Amino acid sequence: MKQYIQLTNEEIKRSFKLYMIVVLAMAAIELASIVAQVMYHERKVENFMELNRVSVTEALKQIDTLGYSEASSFFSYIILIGMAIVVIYAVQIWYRDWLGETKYIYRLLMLPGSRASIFFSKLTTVFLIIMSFIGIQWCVLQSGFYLFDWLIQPEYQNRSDLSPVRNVMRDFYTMNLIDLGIILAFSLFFVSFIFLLVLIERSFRKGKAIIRIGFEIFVPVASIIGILALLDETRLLLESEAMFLMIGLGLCYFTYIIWKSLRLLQRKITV
Amino acid sequence: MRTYKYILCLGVICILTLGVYVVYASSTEEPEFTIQTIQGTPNDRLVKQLQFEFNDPESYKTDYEVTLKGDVEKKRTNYLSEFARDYSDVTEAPRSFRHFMSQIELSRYEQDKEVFGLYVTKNGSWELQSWRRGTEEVQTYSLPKPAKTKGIYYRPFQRTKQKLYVKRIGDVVQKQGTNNIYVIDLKKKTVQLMVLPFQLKEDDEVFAIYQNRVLYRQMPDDAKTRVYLRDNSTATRLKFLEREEMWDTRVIDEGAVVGMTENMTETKIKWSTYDLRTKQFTQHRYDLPKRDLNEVQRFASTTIDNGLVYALIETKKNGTTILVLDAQTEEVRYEGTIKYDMPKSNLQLNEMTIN
Repeated sequence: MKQYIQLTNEEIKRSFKLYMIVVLAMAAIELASIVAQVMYHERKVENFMELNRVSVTEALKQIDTLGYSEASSFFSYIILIGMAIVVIYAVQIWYRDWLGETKYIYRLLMLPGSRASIFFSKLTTVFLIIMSFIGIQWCVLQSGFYLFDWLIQPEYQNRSDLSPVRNVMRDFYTMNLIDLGIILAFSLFFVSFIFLLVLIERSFRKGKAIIRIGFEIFVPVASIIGILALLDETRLLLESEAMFLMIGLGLCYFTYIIWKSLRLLQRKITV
Repeated sequence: MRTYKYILCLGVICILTLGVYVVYASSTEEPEFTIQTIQGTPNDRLVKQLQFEFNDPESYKTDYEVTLKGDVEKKRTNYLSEFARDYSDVTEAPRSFRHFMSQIELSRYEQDKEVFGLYVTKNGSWELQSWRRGTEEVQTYSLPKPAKTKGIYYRPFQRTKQKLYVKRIGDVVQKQGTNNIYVIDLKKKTVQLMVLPFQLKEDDEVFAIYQNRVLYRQMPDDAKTRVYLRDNSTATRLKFLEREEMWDTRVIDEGAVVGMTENMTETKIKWSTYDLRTKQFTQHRYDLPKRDLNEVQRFASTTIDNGLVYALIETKKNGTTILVLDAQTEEVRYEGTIKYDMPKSNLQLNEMTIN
């Protein structure tokens, strides 16, 4: 356990500077996008007033007021960038140990004790980063709302859209904590799957590795399509029962991913 | 402690930031609903089954189901429950019936709280199941292939005593028309062919059948609607029923009367009935109490079901006013309001369901 915590600490330490830079840059871009949206809207209204010689009320009837969901529209792109960064990081966290000048992986593999702690320390690191991204994004969304409320002139503001919850990310931050749990569980599953593919690639020669990776992707995708088609055709189960079946199969597959990854790390990967 | 500096640092960031979200999501205020009954009683058999669904825009996956007896049920959906959502509208039925109703190409019909599902098997025989709402009882009818049937598109449209009327729909009807309808005897578990003295096409609709009288709507090629009452061999055109807003009809008294709602105004609830027994057409109206002119009316609807007119008027100031009227006698069975207290958010009425 001590080794696992120490390794996790080490993994975070090696990425912490980059992590801080990414988080601060993304938060700064998001807040700047709010300022830009408010200023752009204000200028659009003023230009319309000048060109058509109408009052603010008339101009706002034509152009429409600005709500927070519209002002925060740029946030969805940042979330997509954040997701891409996590995927890249999940791959990079393994390859940097092999491909770096120090060949850090040899030191890790030579450590006494179970190699499972190497796997779980990397998984924990990526998972903590995902959790912090989700949490920080929420705080930026909240701060963005107060910034928006402070910047925009009251008459330019869409009153029906005046809540920090009514933002462009409301399908992500649904205010239902079960949804948060589902997002985190799915993230954990996806990161574990990437880890498995990386470990297969590291365990076998090029040709065999490609076949095995293809097999690991094809089998679950084909099984899901097959099961869904079978359920749809036979109507054996009701929707809720089909959902429980899929959750059960998902859990079984997750267990398989972890088992397979640990097996590869302990038996196939050699110094 | 310094050995674990980074893990602690990232852990604290996670706990603090996600903690803000968890606290925010958990601290959303709960509305307090007040039901005020003006006339009638919420214990009335047909009133107590009414359910009103309000949505909280601040937490849009949260709905409140309110009954007129004052029972409030909070319902939250999540990604998984949306994936498994049952759209069949028979979620309270026994599993076998829900399973039967989930079949593709099954026709569904509901009248007076009894839900019918008709499925045509590959060999042409009919499987019919029915379930009465509020019970656990499911009736199953396996019917041999009726005469002059082809294809799988048949839909029940009226139940009168122990008879269920079924019409054919689909491509064949659209092109050539048909003068056949089918009558299922629910007691004897048989199907009989009934020959109509006129041709029905896809867009045509039989509103009701009462003894030897048939009230139906035809859409000839010129796209003008014509409504007829066929009585033995004579057909009478009923021009007063040829208004587009009257097309949404419901049978009352097992087909003896047809009811149809009209556009509801701010001051009136309007609906009409046509009695096939006496051939009498009646326009009904109920005057609503006067309201402030500047009061914003957000939602208003009228529906006819179970021989009753259900009218809803949602206003910002008064909440949701519910009126339940007898479709034929205009007698007020229930009048009341649902108000809620939620200072930071305005709930929205999603729908009214009759369970």
